[in-house]
Amino acid sequence: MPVDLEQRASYERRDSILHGCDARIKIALLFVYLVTTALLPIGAWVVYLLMGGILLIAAVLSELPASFLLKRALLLEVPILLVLLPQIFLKSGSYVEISPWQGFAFSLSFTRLERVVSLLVRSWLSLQFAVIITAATRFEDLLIGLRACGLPHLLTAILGLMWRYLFVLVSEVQRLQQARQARSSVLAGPNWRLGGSLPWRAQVTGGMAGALMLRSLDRSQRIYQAMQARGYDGEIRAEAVASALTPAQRLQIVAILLAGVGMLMLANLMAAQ
Amino acid sequence: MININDLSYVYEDGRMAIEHIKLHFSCGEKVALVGPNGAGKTTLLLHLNGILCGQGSVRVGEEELDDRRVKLIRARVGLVFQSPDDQLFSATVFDDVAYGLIYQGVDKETIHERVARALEAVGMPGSQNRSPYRLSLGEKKRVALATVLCMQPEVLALDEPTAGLDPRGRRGIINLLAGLDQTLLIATHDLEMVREIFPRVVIMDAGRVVYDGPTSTALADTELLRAHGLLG
Ligand SMILES: Nc1ncnc2c1ncn2[C@@H]1O[C@H](COP(=O)(O)OP(=O)(O)OP(=O)(O)O)[C@@H](O)[C@H]1O
Ligand SMILES: [Mg+2]
Repeated sequence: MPVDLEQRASYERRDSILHGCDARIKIALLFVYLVTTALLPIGAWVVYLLMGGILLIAAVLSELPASFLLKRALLLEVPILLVLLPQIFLKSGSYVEISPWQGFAFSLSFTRLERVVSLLVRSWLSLQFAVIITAATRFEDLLIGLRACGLPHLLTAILGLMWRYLFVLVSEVQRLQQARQARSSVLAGPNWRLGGSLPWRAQVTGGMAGALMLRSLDRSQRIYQAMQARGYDGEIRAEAVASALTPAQRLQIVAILLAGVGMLMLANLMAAQ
Repeated sequence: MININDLSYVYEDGRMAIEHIKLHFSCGEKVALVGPNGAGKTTLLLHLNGILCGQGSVRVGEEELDDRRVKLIRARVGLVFQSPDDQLFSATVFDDVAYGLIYQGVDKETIHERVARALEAVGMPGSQNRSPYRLSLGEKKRVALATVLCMQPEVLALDEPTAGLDPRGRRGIINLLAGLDQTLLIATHDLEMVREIFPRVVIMDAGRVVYDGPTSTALADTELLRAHGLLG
């Protein structure tokens, strides 16, 4: 049964400090964190550690279970690992030849290894931070925040509708599957034609895909009409309409920006030494 | 025929929809399930053919409803969902009504004949080639009923079959149901229909059974009806 799919998608309900924090500040934080991490030089391990510390603080403030956050981020990390890993066997920079047995040898490049591990750590930091922020921010708040950060009205409206209709689609799929399941039965006694022929099954599935499209369109349209009937004009509204940033919030955003710049300077200084 | 023992179900969001339900239905019995909105009628019916699976046990005939036997039991218990949009999923009415039969491996001629008969019974003869998606609500409800009727299950579990039908359509369904000799379990708000064709009624409120007995006694007891929101 489709239970509150929107809640399940990325947002995890909690009453933590991070959840309560203004979406604009979280967006600024995420943006600065991503840019800083991307610009950090290779092998700046101490700064990576500092960034990890910030990550840890955010994770603790979100009050979300570590296993949940790790699982989400590591799942995204796997493809990156698969792409980067072969690089360490390239013959470049300083490398050693390893020959575990006769007739088989490969090279291991230390230069590449440092590079790959740096990239992995940084990509994980970025992903993990994004996972924490999105899990602690409602999609509507994120949209309001993006809008406040100057994203055009039309774009946020489209994003908002896409988000809503995605769940319409998913719940339609679930309903169709359940309907089919309820009538997929077996007669007692020996039966060998059970489940129908393969072409027939394919045809049923095709028909369901068609029905899905029609119904989703139809439901989306009805939702849109209902929204219009209640005065929807393309602007997303949440219970708390985004108010102007307080001086304290402005200060926080400036501090976040400065912290990002500081991290970059620190990392480059250490790399230069 | 059906034995429900200490059945409880909690939805994913933590809502306790039915609690410690204990009911027995004999073969051929016609029972109406009534109660206010949110009483748990739909939730209970969804357990009868394994769409939902809660705590406690459901037995159909001699068989315990479990993962292994659920497909066998679905051939014996036909369920019609409250909303016909939850029931219909094919491109044409024929495909939809025939689905269960084709899945069971019934031969072609029997299928065509049974589909035609089921559609006629619900007052939608000759609608085989229409698209279920383009039917009116009442027409969809009738086709939804036909999808299950044609499978000739021993038990029919119907969720509000007369809601949204015009008076003539409602009368047609009532006559149809009265003429069936299967075990019949119906969730409804249509007390007139209950009075007419169901000798036994089960009243549910807030997930519990609050009355189980003869319809005449229940409907004469205005206190009982008022207490459970069945009287306007
Ligand atoms: N998918 C769901 N997720 C969470 N709670 C649900 C879900 N479906 C139903 N409920 C809750 O379970 C309770 C029983 O619902 P149910 O649909 O069984 O009532 P009902 O008796 O069929 O009502 P109605 O007469 O309105 O059809 C209600 O309180 C309802 O809010
Ligand atoms: Mg219901």
